[in-house]
Amino acid sequence: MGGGHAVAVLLLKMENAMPALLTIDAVSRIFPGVKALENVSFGIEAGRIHAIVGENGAGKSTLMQIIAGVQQPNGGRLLLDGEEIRLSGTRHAREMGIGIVFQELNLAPNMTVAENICLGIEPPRGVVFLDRPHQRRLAREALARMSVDIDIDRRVGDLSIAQQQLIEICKALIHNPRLLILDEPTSSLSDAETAFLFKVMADLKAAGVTMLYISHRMPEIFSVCDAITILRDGHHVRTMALADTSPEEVVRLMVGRDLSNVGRSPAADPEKPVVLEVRGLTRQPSYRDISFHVRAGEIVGFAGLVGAGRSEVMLGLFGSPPPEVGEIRIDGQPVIIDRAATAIAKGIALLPEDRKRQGLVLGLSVSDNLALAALGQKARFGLVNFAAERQLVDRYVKRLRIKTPNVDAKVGNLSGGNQQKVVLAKWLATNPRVLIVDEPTRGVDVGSKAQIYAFLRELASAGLAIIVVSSDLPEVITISNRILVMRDGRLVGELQGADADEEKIMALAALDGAAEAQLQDAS
Amino acid sequence: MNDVHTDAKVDISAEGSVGCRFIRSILRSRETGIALAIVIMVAVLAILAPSFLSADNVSNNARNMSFVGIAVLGEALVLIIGGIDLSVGSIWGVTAVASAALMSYGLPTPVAIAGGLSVAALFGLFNGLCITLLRMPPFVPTLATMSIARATALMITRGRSIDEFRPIGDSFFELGGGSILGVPTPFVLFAVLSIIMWVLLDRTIFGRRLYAIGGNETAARLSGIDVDRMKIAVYVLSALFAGLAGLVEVSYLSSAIANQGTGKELNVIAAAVIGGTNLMGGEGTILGVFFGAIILEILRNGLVLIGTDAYSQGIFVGLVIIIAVFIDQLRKGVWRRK
Repeated sequence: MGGGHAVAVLLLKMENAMPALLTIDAVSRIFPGVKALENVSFGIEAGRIHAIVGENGAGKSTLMQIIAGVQQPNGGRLLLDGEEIRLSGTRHAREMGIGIVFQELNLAPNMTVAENICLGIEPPRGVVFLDRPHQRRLAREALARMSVDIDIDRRVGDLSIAQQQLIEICKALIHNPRLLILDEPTSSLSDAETAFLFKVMADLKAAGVTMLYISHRMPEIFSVCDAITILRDGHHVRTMALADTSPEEVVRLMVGRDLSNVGRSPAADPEKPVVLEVRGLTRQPSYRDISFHVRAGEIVGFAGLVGAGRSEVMLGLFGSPPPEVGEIRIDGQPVIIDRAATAIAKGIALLPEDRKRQGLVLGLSVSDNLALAALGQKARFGLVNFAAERQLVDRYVKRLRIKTPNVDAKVGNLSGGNQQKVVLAKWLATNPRVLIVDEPTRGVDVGSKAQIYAFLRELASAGLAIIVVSSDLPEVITISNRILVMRDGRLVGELQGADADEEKIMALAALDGAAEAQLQDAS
Repeated sequence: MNDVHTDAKVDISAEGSVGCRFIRSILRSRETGIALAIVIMVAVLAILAPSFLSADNVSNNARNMSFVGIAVLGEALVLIIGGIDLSVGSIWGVTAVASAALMSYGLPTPVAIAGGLSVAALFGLFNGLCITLLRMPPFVPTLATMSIARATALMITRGRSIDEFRPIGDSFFELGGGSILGVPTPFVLFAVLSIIMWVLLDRTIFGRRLYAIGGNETAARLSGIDVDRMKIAVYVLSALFAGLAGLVEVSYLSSAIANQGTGKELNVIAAAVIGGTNLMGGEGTILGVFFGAIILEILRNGLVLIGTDAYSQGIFVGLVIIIAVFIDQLRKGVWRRK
């Protein structure tokens, strides 16, 4: 702890001429089994827009929630104007002049703009009555301060997402914060809407408001921010002025992992037939013009940031919901997939991203879960063929080495790795031609991870076409013969497994078009 | 109406004159539709059954709708915050017998009424604490209270009715049986309480915050609103209104039995839904539920007057609920949005 403090002081002396508005001193946040933040120290100068970046799971959101009083740290302290503050909740943080705009919108859709802006601080007339004219005046003033023109009597639910985002910012501004946290405010905005938001931010900065800006998008950060802090795996990597760095350096610091121990997969055999071919797949606003192919025996990795549209494309291939435009061919035959049942019938299997919500019925047994998708194939006259089902279940439990006391045990009681194996077995039981796995090892222990990788390779060599979607870059690099990178709903690059590295992938996933072209020229 | 703007910044909607806006908002409001339904029902019934508009029948209807009507005023608050209170029928019953029992012991009327309402408030508090402190879904504790309060009523009466707890002609009987300027007292009470509740919901900070809780509880919490305390208050209020309905009914019947109010929770919720209250929370008005209670009673009375099979009444009530919600969805454009 003491060491962290000394480092923070040193950093402040070296890099910050101006005094820090907020100093984060050796802050840690430990959840059971996970260190979300460990000994993080840095300072935020007054009157600046300060970017916070890091890969998924680096600890950005946790840190912001601590600063906004939503969570309390297990260790370390926050200093506002050099004085220690202990925040008991969002209300307390607000009184201290700290406001936050969460990534998800927190508005009451059934109420008007004015009512939402003044929620919790409604102006009274007398003791209990609401002073409506005063409330409307407050709301109008708050909107005018941002030069936003929205009818304050409209229902918030009828506004566009961008307008709702502005209302959220307004809600925070009405408390006159000195420090405003914006958590990925542009993730659902169009370019024009983003430009408007930046104008609002520039006005706020001119008015003396300090801002913390969380984003994945390098071009945005380099166009609006003054300083940047990079977090990685819950640790503070570096805080610096943006003038002193480049997008490439930031990406390198974000990733910064030792890559020496990562194995590689060779390119797939080009003689093998193409099993899945996709052309011009589009579903607005999630993804546009997605074209790619997967050969028999090939594992294709899909990399990209959260929200890039990877999972949506996979759900599109699975008909839930189907793409609006585009062609899907399996073994050269064009197919129309309008719902999950058709996808299964055509030989596509999908292991969804959220195992507990989409892949398993936790209250049912291993056996019931495993047989769920293949049930129709084993049934006769609508009746379950129990003998065939038991045979199938036993075969897969053995093949995948699923550790369970017996096949009638509840799936919810198994470990994460074994649950994932049950989902995998469930889909293999349908004899697919194409296997799509979305985040196959999230929440899975290292041992099971290796087993799942080995098993995927084994399936590929048996002739299956496999797609792996993963935000875990070493994982994508290890397992894939070829890697496709998505950003903002488009395919932005393709890398051969042998010459892919984390930096190249992150550059494609997070940088703008220019950097992308540069990088491709270089490679 | 529900056009979702996708263009960038800002919607510069024409302000329009205030008067024009006011008229448009009236025409578009849900309550106008419900009022129109009442007018049509009254007109049809006046033609089919001339006795419908007789002074006696109108007065009886006004009295009969008031019991359920008073209870709806409390239930509406619960539904607006996105909850549900299944215990109103049983709290209605236990309050009725508790206050009658207290009067039969010779306690003064105000004390007996206060005692009965305290019993109701305790059950409401129990509901509220289970929902907030124990984090139970509202369905569960109110279902339990429905059973517990009914059993308490049975224990008080031991299955017999409580009669002659006040001499004939006592002022207590005015509450349910009397009239003010020719209007039955229960209806006057229902109307006055409706106005008070309208002011509470529409004009006070407490009331507006209830809509916020029902619309987005997280947003309300993050705005520093003490959601738990407000929820408890709402369940206590709901129980108090249910208890009051029971009290007024005892005064009208001059007798109390343990199964008073049995099944009324369904009528109460039906009236609220017909009146445009959204069971998902965040939407509903006092004017709406006021009209809802009226529709339910006119329907019941009308079906009897035109000679419909008494056993089939439930079918009509059910259909009216479905039609009311369907029309409301049309108005909101649920189907247009897909």
